[in-house]
Amino acid sequence: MKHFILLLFTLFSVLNVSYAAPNDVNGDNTVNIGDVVSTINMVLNPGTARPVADCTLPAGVDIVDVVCLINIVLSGVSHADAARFLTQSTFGPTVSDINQLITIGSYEAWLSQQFSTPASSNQLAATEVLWLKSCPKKSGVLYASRPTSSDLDLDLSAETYRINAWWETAITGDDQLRQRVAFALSEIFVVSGASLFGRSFGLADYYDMLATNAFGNYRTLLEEVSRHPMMGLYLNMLQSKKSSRPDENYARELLQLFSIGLVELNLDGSPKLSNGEPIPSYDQDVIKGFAKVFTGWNFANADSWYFRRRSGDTTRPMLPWEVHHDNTNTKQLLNGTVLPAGQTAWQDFRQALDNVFNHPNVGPFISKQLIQRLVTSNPSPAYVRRVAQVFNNNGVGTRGDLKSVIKAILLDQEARTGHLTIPHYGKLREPMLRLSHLRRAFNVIPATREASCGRGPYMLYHKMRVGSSNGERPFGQEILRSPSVFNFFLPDYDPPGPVKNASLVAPEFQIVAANTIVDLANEISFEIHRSDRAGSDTTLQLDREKALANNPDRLLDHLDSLLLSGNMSAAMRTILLEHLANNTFPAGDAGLAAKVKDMLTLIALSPEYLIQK
Amino acid sequence: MCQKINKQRRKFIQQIGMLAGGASLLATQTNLQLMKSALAANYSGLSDYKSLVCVFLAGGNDSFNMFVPHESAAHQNYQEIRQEIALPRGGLNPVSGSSSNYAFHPSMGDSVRNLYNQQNLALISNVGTLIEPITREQYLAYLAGDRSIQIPQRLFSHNSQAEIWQTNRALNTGATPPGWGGRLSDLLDSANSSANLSPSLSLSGTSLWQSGNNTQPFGVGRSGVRNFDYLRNGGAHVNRAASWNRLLNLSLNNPLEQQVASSFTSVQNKISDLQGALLNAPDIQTVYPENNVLATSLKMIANLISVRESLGLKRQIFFVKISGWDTHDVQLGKHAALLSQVNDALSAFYQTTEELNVANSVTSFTISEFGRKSLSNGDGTDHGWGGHQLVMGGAVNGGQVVGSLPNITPAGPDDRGSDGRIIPTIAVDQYGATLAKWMGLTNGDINTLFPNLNKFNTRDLGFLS
Repeated sequence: MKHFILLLFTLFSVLNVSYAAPNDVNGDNTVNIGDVVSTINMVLNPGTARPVADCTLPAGVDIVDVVCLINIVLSGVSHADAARFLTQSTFGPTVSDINQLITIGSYEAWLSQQFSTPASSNQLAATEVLWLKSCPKKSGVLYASRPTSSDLDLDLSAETYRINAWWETAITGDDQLRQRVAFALSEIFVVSGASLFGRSFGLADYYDMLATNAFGNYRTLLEEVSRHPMMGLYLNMLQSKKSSRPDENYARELLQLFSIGLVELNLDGSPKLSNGEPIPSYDQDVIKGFAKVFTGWNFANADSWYFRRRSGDTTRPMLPWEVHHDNTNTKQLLNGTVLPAGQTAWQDFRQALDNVFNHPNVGPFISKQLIQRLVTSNPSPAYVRRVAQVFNNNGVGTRGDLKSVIKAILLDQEARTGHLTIPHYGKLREPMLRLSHLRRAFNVIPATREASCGRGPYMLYHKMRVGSSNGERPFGQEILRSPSVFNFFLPDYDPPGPVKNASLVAPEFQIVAANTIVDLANEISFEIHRSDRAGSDTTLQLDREKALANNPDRLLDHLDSLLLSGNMSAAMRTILLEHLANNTFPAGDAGLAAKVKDMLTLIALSPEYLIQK
Repeated sequence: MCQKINKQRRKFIQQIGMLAGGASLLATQTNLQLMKSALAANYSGLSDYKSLVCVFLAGGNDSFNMFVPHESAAHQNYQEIRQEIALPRGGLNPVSGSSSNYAFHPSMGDSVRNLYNQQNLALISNVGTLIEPITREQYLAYLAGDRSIQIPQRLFSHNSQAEIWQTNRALNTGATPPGWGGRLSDLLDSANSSANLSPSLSLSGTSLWQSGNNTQPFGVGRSGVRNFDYLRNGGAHVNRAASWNRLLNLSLNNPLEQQVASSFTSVQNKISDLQGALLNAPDIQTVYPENNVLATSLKMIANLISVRESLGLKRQIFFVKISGWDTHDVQLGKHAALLSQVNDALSAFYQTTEELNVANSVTSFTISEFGRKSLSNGDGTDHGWGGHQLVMGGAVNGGQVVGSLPNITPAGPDDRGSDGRIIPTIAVDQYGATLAKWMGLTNGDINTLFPNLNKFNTRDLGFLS
């Protein structure tokens, strides 16, 4: 505390502060020394803050640096630190979120706040709202009353509303951490609208289920995923019945992709080896055992076993039909466990999921993938081990507590400072996260299309193209629309080139091909290019940046902090400054906008930005 | 102030990292260059044009329903095995020639069957992932612990088997190996006069099969290639592209950043030439089916083939993937639609190769990570092992079944267990080696692509001449 006071005292004397009326302290776009001092006063003397005047800085001292230094002193969290943390834990930092995190002053406190923030948006409800606004019709006639979800699913354009509802939540939701984790989970527990045609409301409900369980227990999540009718439809557990040859699809992918993976793992995520070779974590007998377990499940509203799938309730968990459950055979599970014959569907189901849940692979398998989705493609084995240990035991004896796992991932030393010490640190920003980051950072205004009947899909966000499973999508990615259960990319994808040469992986590069590179670069460029224009299109707001455009250093400080978490290299900064200095821009407002757009485009397409660090 | 502090710290760390990371990268590049120059002499004399078109039926094609017994007793036996998913005899398309007791799926009559009968298409029977030949008895012994024989790891897993099909790696440790198409392309690239353009073009993005050591697939959209329009067309005031290229050319320490920069740079270097060449592509007269993703992709491949000379390419490989073959449920309808898509697309594409006078120079072939169990699961099928593949082109010794058709009886002599996952009798290695030989690869180089090839009796399956 002594040092703290001393530092402040030194600072005040350097700045030659005198006291008068306070100036704008509520975090608007103008930062002046009066705000700084007022802030300090308020922190030091809550409720009795003294008035503060504007004052002049000594030559050579930049106010931004002063603010930065003071914030570090006060909270230990710099703008860059805050931006980095929020890049990993949200759909992209905004100026106000950065300031809020600095004000809260600790990552733990921010996490606690997020853990207690209820799911701000229900995708199913939002999808319905958008859908209802477009005046839903059935056979050309408006519904007399609120339709059921299975009615809604019949509308193929509902997929557009689902996707817009997702963007609305991702960009405006207060429950950023929950939604960001749900997005990560959606890339592990994959279902896809690319092959589940006309099931948009079921998909929206599935996503809500992921968000609801994002801070819960993995065991519960596994059960809700397994019983969700969208998973039932996607991987064929729904209506799989007792047979000498039951459908093996869900059994296989549950084990390979959702829980333990193909080979036995050490706690640090590395494969266990036997004579130099990995050890398979299950064999065909186990697949058959689980396939038998998963027999006898149907839609919650099914009134006959071969209930018409189109009429199935896609939002309520599947229920068992004992008559179609295999209760005559024993079932081989993992680790030598065998379920006895004669159990109910529920007993078999729960005991089998317990068996999966308690396999030692789950901790490292799930932890490593969550680290890859949030923080870095190549976590150190020690980082994986630390998080997997928390998965195995959250400190009070609970296994699978996802809240503790997320906390462990984001607060780990490697997450917080790995970029300073590890040369290959970070991950390629996914197409959707590139777009969400820009849209949040520059307070996107959604399209203002009049919601009148007969106008077709109510598009809030531009260019959310929905193709068939083979359709070409410029983003290479869309929420819950991966080409297969193997997600858009595999966790161990190692693109040929510098990454593979360094024996690293970079999963997100699996959707980076020449044509998608160009298409995505153009889409991102156009998103920036059409910003700052009134109209019916999705629009980024650049007023704050335009106000800085005639002060290139300030502009770049701001963009560095907001977009690159303060990691812009000096060389990159020089190139951007020279771009502004050496090109002739139009006069007036158009020139300011052009400068800002060029900076955003160049940053958004730069290697330093594209690798989130 | 603190900005500057961070910068200096970062720079220092970067400098340390450069020392550690730079050396290995340099060494790899040197090796690649040495390899390329050592082999360049082998193929630079090739004067004809040849290309391979790989059609990946992703998900596992139920090929035992693509080509089925037609003779009445045999069909009845087939029906008893496949039960719910058996195809009725009536709609089948029997083939002529020595396998006339067999027939193609009802969706494959007017084109695939006809191409077969006209000897421009062959069916390669029961191909699959193998390390060495294996019998049912040996497999059962393996399960009981006998390790005197090797079998591929992770059978029945989609991505694992797809990886083996494309890379020929049957035992799994470490980094993903290059694809055998990519290595073929590495070796044959010395026949190409263009130093710039990739001989590998993919209509389905990143393609493991084409991923070589020094040639990589170049992704092309079904509607062609576009350029970095916004960056290039910056209007009068600025040269955005110049500044962007300066950013890409910065010395970057992080391999992931290097990967981004090299991908962008590689695309920029190639895209303009390709775009320019395609502008001069002749209009294709063949009528293509609508709403057929495979057909649209193959049409773009035909466009790319048509400009081969202006691109200076004598050896090319193409890749396209169509998904949806994982028919665990509602198989009859789904499979019929998929095969119909393949049927219409292959037909149009073959016709186009004739139109472009390259029918004898272009060989198309299918791959699929596995066949499916002969036993149905009620209304679909689960993951199997061996399965049939199609090879099409003027150079194909068509109108024949290559290899022996398996007995798909569960627990029968060709089953690895009791549910009809059929043990392959032709290895991916043999299939690939035959294609590679046609492309002009020497026996020595074929051995490096398929190191297990010598464990099988036949190096060349003879379906190409």
